[in-house]
Amino acid sequence: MKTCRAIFAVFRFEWKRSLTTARIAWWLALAGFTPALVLLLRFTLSAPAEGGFWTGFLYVMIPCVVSMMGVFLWATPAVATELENRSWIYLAVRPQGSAAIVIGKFLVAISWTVLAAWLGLALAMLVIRPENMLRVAAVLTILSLLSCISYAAIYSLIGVLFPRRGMVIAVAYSLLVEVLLAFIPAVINRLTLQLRLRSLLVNWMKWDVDFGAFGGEGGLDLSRLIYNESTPWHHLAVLAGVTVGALWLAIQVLRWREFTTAGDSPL
Amino acid sequence: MIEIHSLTKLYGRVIGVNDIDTTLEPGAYGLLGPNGSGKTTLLNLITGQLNPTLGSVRVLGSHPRANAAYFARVGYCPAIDGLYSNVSGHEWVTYLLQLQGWTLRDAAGKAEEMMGVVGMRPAMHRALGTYSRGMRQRTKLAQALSHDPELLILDEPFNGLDPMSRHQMTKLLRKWIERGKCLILASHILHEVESITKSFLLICGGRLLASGSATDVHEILSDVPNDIEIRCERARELAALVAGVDGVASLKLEQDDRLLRVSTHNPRLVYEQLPAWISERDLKIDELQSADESLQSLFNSLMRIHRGEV
Repeated sequence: MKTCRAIFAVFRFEWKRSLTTARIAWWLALAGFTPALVLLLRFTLSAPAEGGFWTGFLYVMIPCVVSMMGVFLWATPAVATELENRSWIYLAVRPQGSAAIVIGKFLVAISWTVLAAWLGLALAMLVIRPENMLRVAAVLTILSLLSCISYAAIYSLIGVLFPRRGMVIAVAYSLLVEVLLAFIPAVINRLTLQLRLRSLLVNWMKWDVDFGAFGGEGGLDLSRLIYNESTPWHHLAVLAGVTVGALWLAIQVLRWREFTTAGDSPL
Repeated sequence: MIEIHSLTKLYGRVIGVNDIDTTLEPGAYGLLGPNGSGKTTLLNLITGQLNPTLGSVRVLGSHPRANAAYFARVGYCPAIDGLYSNVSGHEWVTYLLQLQGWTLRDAAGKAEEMMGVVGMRPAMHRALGTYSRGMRQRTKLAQALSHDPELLILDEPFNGLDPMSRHQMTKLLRKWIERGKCLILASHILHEVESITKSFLLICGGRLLASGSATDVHEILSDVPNDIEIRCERARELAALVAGVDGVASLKLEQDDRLLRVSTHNPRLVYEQLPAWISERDLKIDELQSADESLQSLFNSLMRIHRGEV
């Protein structure tokens, strides 16, 4: 109960602190980015695009770009900002300090980002008005939330492990692992969150993805680049496992790592 | 209250704390040492923020590292500020109380009470970024006291306080001690600590040089000569005069015979003679410094004892 109160305290405190002009402007930019691009595409495309194109476009923009970027900016520097501000010591000597900071800021990152993502999605849907609007909206709403949750946990862990270079390493992780490795049709892409999210998209949209095989019959199935045939429950379990595991590890590292107030601080 | 055994903390090749052994009964202690002597490192070890490289530390019967139950019993006011500029003092203390597990309502009420105790009630809804150094210091004290800990640890709490605020804080800490609570007060200024407690731990170069009351420390130092620095044009001539005073242990001329360092067992005799020499010989003294009134001199003397030079 005391831990829950402490987490709520961090959540409330950080939300209140985030209501500055600069951060609200950034939130609006994040929310308006996708609808603005959709509007531009609508005006520049010579022929109306198919529903599948727009769904794919919105998936790339909302659960990938907006959600990832939002939580990246919030969750990665969660501990580093406290260390830089030298406010960490006041939190570290509290009974629920470390866990509350990690989970509280993780929840702020999710709520702050997912609201921008959902607003962006809603505005974009109003512009596109696809045939299966309800299904597309429902699937992308859930995928945005899942993306925010799992990436916020990963970025929180990166921020705790590398407080000095967290942002750089998180960008490198996003590009190398979640963009590059996620498209390698081997066991390694199963380690990425992107494959799980794409697989859920394909499954829930009931898409029949068949790109054929590279090198003729019996060759490499190109649809494996995009998705994995496991059940949605399997993908959800993997996302939940990664989230819980990353958060647990971040809390443990934070509890046992030495962050001092002297000049020898990791920052 | 605190048991420290062979406590050593290394930062790579730099020694923060060097082989400290001591046991402190419940009470109030002043942790004295010059800047960079290892006070903050020792406090970081006591508050569980650092792991000892060697040895062990137990506080209030438990190991402090990553120990939530221990954190609930300790209040810590670090030397650094580290406050959020866009948050009010009341909000900040409330927030930190909530991290102790308090409900929002209880925490807000207690925070208001404690801001009043430290004399910050009129400004408690102002942003921390607008506070003066003294106001920040008092707010930091409020957060350390607010959950009524058994042990209060303060690192340089008088920094930036005006005389009135110093007096108020001294009164507050005396009341704290009268309530039977434990206190560790780190400072590099002797008289600040003396006004609150008579029990000292003296630390220098990461080593615990002495502990006990002021009387104990003076007894240790009774055989140690005191140092006087005299800066004047004709220091060599003055040295010849000082050499005839009883108790002078050594004389040293430095800086092209412009600085005379006197080491004496009886500095009063030198001070008594000085006015006469000045008027009779027309000596012009530019600067007279009795290093022994400063804490650094006390530590220098203790270091000499420690090295076996006295």
